[in-house]
Formats: sequence, C-alpha cells, structure tokens
Amino acid sequence: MSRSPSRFEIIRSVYVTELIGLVRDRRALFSALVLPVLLYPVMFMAHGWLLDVSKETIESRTVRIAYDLTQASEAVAERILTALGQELPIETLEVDAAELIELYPSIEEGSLTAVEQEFAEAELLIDAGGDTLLLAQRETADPERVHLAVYYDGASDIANEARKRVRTALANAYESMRAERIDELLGGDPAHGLEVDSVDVASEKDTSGAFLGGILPLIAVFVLLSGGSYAALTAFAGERESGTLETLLVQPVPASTIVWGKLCAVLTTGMATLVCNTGSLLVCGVLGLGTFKELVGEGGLALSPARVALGALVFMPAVVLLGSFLSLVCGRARSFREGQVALMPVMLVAALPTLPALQSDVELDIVLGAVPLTGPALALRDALRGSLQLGPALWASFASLAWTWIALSRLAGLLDAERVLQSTEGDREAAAAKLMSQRALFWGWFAVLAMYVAGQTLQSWNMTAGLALTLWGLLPLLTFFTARSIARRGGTPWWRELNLGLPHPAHALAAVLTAPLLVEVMLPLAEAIQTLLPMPTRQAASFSFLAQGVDLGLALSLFLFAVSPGVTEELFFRGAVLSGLRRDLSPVRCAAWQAALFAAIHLSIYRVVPTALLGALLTILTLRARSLWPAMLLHMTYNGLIVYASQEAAEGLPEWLPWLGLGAILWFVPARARAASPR
Amino acid sequence: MTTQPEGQAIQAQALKKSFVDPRRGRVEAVRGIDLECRWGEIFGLLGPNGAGKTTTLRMLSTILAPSDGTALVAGIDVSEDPLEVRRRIGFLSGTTGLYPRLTPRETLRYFGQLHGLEGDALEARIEELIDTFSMREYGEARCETLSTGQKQKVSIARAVLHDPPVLILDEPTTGLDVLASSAMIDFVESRRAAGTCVLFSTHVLSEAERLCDRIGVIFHGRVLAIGTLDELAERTGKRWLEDIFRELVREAGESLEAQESSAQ
Repeated sequence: MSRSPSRFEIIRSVYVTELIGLVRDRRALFSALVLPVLLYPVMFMAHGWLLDVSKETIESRTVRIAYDLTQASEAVAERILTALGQELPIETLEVDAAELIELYPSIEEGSLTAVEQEFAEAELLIDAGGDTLLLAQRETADPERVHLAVYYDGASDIANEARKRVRTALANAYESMRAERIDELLGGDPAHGLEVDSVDVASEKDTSGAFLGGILPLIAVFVLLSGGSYAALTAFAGERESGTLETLLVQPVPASTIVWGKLCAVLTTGMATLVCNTGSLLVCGVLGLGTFKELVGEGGLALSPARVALGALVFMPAVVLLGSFLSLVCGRARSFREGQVALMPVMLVAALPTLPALQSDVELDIVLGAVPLTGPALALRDALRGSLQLGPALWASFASLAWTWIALSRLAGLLDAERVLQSTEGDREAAAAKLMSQRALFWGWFAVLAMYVAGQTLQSWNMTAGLALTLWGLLPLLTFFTARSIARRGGTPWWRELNLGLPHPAHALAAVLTAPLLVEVMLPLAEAIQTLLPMPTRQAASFSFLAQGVDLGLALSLFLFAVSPGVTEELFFRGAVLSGLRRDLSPVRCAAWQAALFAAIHLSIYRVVPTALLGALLTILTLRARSLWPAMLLHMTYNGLIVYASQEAAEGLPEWLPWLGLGAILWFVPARARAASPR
Repeated sequence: MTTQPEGQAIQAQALKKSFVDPRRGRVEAVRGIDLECRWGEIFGLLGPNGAGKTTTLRMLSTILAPSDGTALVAGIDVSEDPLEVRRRIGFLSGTTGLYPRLTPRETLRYFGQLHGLEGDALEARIEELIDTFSMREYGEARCETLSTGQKQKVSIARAVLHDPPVLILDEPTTGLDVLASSAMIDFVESRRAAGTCVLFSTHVLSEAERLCDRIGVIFHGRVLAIGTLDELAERTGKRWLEDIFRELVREAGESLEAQESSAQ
C-alpha cells in the first residue's frame, strides 16, 4: 500500500505538471514570454524611426501660402512676408481674401476640405494639398491693430506643422517690431536685464520614477491579466474540458491541495509574463529607444534598482490577488471558451482600480489602500517615485492579503465535486440555456445602444413623433429579433417567448391596484434623489415636458407616456428579454439584470434608482404571475397616474388608494399562477 | 496478487443521492441502492440513461458524498474516510481524458506521485505497466498524439498504477473500437484472476453477458434485480440478457407510471 504524500509533495506534483503543460504549449509560451522581449524594442524603435522620418518629411516640405495683407500697412506686410521667408521654405500667392471668402463662405465657417477644394476650383493654386494655408488680415475697429487669420486644414499633419511655423514666423515678426517700437519710444526695453531661468531640481531618478510610476501599475495589471489568464484557463477550465478533472478528484489527495498547486502555476506564469514584459519595457526605457527618446529625453530612463525592487515587493500582494481572482473566474467556467468569455469583462474591470495611480496628486491613504489593486498600484507608483511611506504601504499590503485570503477561501472550494460534477449533468441543456440567456442580454444591451443612437436622434428631430416612432417602431422590431433569436435555440415559435399566456385574475387586478402605492413610494424617492443629485435645469425641463405632456392634451399624453411604454417596453423587457434570461438565471439575477437594463435604457443618471426599482419589480411580478399582462397593466397604470398627477388641474389621489395597493399585494402573493402558462 | 481485507469488497445500503438543480429543483438521482460485491468478482451495473449508475459509482468512489445510506469499500466507509477509500480503488470512466501535453510515462508518474509512490519504486512500477500494456513504443509521445486505443491503455494503466484491490469502471468501453474494447475486456478478466473486485457499468449487454459474475439492474435510482445471469433469467422467464433487461425495465416503468397517476 502506498504512503500518504505530504501537502507540499502534492502541491509540487500538481505545480510541475501544470507548468509542463504550459511550457509545451509553444504558441502560448511565445506570445507570453518571447514575443514581449522582442516586441517592445522593435515597437519602440520602429515608432521612434517613424516619428523621425515624419518630422524630417514635414520639415522639408514647401508650404504654400495664399495671403491677403491689403489691410496691413506696407511696412507690416513686408515684415510679415520677410519673417515667413526666413522661417519657411514657402511659395506665396497674393489673393483677395474678402472676395474669396464671399465666393466661398465655407472658408469662413471653417470647412477645411472645402477650402482646399474651392482653392483648386478657383485655380488660385494648382496644387491645393494639405499644406495650403490662407493668411488674411481681418478688419478691426482699431486701425493700428493687425489681426491676422490663418485658414488651414487641421486634419492634415503637414498643414498643422505649417501653421505652427507660420505662427512662429509671425511671433518673431511681432517681437522684432515690438522691440523696435519700444526702442523707438522709450530708448530701450525697460524690462531689459530681467531674465528668468527655470531649473529642474529633481534628479533623473525622480523624473524617471515619476514617469514610470504613472504608467507601470496599469501596464503591470494588464500584463498579469493576459499572462495569468491563459494559465488559469488551462489549469481550471481546461481540466474540465479535457475530462481529467474526475480522475484528479478520485486521487487520494484533498481537492484544496490540488487547487494550491494549480494556483502556484498560475502565479508563476503571471510573474514570468510580468518580468518579461516589464523587463523588456524597462530596458527599452533605459536605452532610450525610439519613443522613449521623445518621452524622457536622449538619456533614457534613469532607473533606481532599489526603487524597482521595492516596487516589486509592494506590488506582490496584487500579483497573488490577481492570480487567485483569475483562477476563481476560470474555475467556474465549464470550458476554455466559456472561461475566455467570462474573462473579457473581468480584464477591463480589473484594470480600473489602477487608474488612480495615473493621477500624481492621489495619495495612498487608508481608504484607497483598502481597495483591491488600488492600494498596491499606488504603493508601486510611490516606490518608483521614491516617496513610499511605510505605514500606508503596509496597510495596502495587509488589505491586499486580506482580499487574497477571501479569494483563496473561495478558491479552495473550486474543485468541489458536488458542484463541478452536478453541473455537468445535462450539460447540453445547460449550455443551451446559457446561450439563450446570453442572447437575451446581448439584445438588451443592443437595445440600450439603439436607444442612445436612434432613439435620441429621432427624439431630437421631433420629441413627440420621435418618441412614438421609438416606442412603436424601434422597440417592437427589437422585440421581434430578440424573441426570434431565443426561440430559434429553443425550437419554439417566436411569439411563445413573449409570455403572453393569460394570468390569474388576482394577479391582473392586484397589478392595477398596486400602481397607486408604487406612485406614493416613488415620488418621495424621486424627490430625495433630486435633493442628493439635483437634475440640471435643461434636463428637468425635458423631463417635465415628458411628464406633463405639454400641448398634447391628457388623452394623447396618456397614450404616449402610459399605454405605449406599458405595452412596448414590457413586450421587450419582461417578454422577450426575460424569456431568455430566466432559462439560465435565478429570479434574483433576472431581476438584477432587468433593473440594470431598464435603468440604462431610460438614458438618465437622475432616474437610475426609480427605473431600476421599477424594472426589478415588474420582473418579479412577471415571474410570479408567469404572464406578461400584469406587468403591462402595472406599468401602464403607474405611468398613467404620474402623467395625471403632473397635470396642473389634477386633484390629488384619494388617500385610501395606496392602502388598496397594500391589500392587493397581500392578495396577489398567495395566488398561484395558472398551470397553463406559456412554458 | 493483492491482499484483500475481510468481508465484502463493496457494501452499499440504502444509498441515496439528491441534489438541487437551479432549473429542475431537487433531483433524486439515487433513491436507495443496496448492493454487495465480492472479492474476485466482476459485478455489472446495468440501467437505462439517467437510471443513476454514474451517480452510484461516483458515490462509491467518493467523488460525490451520499445524501443518505452507507457504503463501505474494502471495509472503509466512503463518508468517514474518503481518502483511504481512494487509496484502495482504481477509477476509470468512458469520459476520462488524459493531459494532452504529457507523455504516458509522465502521466503515470504524476498519478503515482499523487498516490505517494516515489523514487525507484515508482519508476519500476511505471516500467512494469508499460510492458504489461505494450506502451513502450509510444511511452514518450504526447498523449494528444495517441490513438483512442492507446489512450485507453494509458488510462487503464493509470487506474491500476497503485495496484488497487477494487476497480470501479464507469462505461469503460464507451467510444472504443472493437479492438480497444477487447483489450479492456481482457484486462478486466485478468483483474478478476488477480482477486480484484471489479464493479462496472455498461450499455453493452454482450460485454456484461460475457464478463459478469453477477449483474445488478437499476432504474429510476433503485435496484430492480441482482443476481447471476441464470438467476435473472429464471426470474423474468427470458433467456438473453437483452430481453431480461427490457422486461425488468418495462415492468418498473409501468409500475412507476401507475404510482405517478395514483399520486395525481
């Protein structure tokens, strides 16, 4: 009989096996370790070379200037032209700017493409390239004052360079004329003798440290995420996909120990990627290759090894935290691909906490030190700048380790066979359900985007007609596509996805009666939010228009603001989208996503809380009633009451009405949904 | 030859497993299984899809914890000391995969280390298995390059690496061609000769007919019948295992339908 291996032996075996698998994946090895070592120098050198070439090209180009200096005195015009000639290789052409502008008003409006085209059409200049400028003097009330306008194509690099040179030439002309004038009037410059020199007292190490401290935390997190994620995917999601997990779980070793071995492999890979990437980057910086010459000067970065070592030390807790976090995400994935999908938003979200390090005035304090990744990012920045304070740095490390401990405690249960193997029962069914829920979410967010783009455009054209078109044109179209997309997967007719089965009468009646209570709750809530986050006057006016239906009359207002959203928004959100979400998500998660989508589609940060609450409530109602009708009725009645209440001539609601709603809820909750529901 | 402890190799009494599925609610996968497997016996577990075969084998191999009931494997309670049970079993399923970038030799070394084998003893055991399963030719090739039959040999070698007295095989011939299946059957027979208890589930009734000393038929999480082929034939009045199996499942299905309709 074999002996029991120690925990260390198990971790070492798992670790070595995982590393062998990773190292033998040549593509991953190349992209994570070899490529950055080669890529950074090549990238920076190529960029620097391109910048040099571009600069030289621009400097050698002849700039064509059409000028009209008829308003200026002869002497001034001559001085300007002389200065231009000294500064630039130029070709000049005298034109009548007033005539030109009158002929082509787009020049005055600043349409630069038109300037060039029309120049060409007018045959004023044969080659109207991006380097053509029109220099003209504008009329001013003060005849002594010279006011020049330079028309140029801002989209052209060459034109921008030409404009810079023209401005330098003009500034030189102005300075020399000014000096002559002062000399003439005062017999010399009274400010002569006052010279100001700026002396940078920061050491090269400090300057380089400040530069690196700003960018390195963000780069380090991205690199760790990209390098560690592949290892985490292979170690956890890959194990499930390749069918080796069940074998591993039947070995005489605790699953938590196996997790530790895998985590060590993830951390090693992440660290190796980090060292290769940042090492290559820093070497490029120290050598002052290409772009670095532009950023930090000819000498390159002056690195302090002690500061880099200290930075690495204080950033280490972030490495462990990120590795644990990646493992946690990948461990929940059923396949490599599912893990990749799950990691995409994680990578974006995980980079956000490092952004404060970009701000040099954000200090590492108790609060920021406790935020995952923010604390180590700020500590790394301060270490590189040479301004690291021991107390806050220790606190940030402690907080990171605490977060890591939380992640690790969750990680220990990652290979829990009960969870892992039960979830594989009916995997195909689960995958189909997941896909339907993902499609529903995709269409939900697509609708939000469509509302931002198409809905806003329509409503800015005509508020009433635009709103009607959005609600009765855009939303039904989105409803159809969403329902069809989900139904295809389930093999059902698309209209079956809209939850249009008849509800229990108690649910329908209770929905209508609950509306006044909801109004009584929402209005004070909206007022409280207005106090905390006052709505800008312009938006308030727009909202007031929506609420009061100015000039529309009560009937049309009710149709537009109560019936229309009650029908079309419910068909989309609680019909098509919820039909997909409920396939894979629990009711609580469905309500949370619906709240987020419903709040987002209303396009106003000031209405986020009430719309989110309404979205969640309508979702719970639909799920409980197994029918869309109660949600439609509640939505219509609720919006209708708000429209009615906002009418100037409206009387307040009877005081007893909300209490009726409370009674309705008590009646509604125990009523069982009809058995003959759509699904 | 492995030294077996006293008593039955596997004893399960009223073994149950239920779990909560987010979509289906509480699922009772196994509703009370009683079975005994003896040393040196090949016991076949038959049943239609979803009958609870895999869940039962997973409980006996300690991957899943029973919700109720008891199970002893080699005299050790699977709930009380799962790690000790794992030392005494070799587990293999039809869906078992191999690490694609490891060689057969590295695969065996890895699992040997997890079983506490080390040094010369481990290397000697690996060499022995490589010879036994004729794997020398591809012992250094990555598993991703092996054929299905070669992979199956590596999996079997991995399962018996620590010379377990009990083998639990879940549909081990699924997806194998005739030659690979035949190799598997030969292996199972050789283990019986060595005194090992082999509990295996299969859908291939001809395999069960050829190999098994006793057969258990389970349906809807319960044992319908246990016995030798002759005993089952006598009970059902059918001659061939396929007919016996159909008859038992049909009877149980009708009984279940009757129960459900009376409950409604």
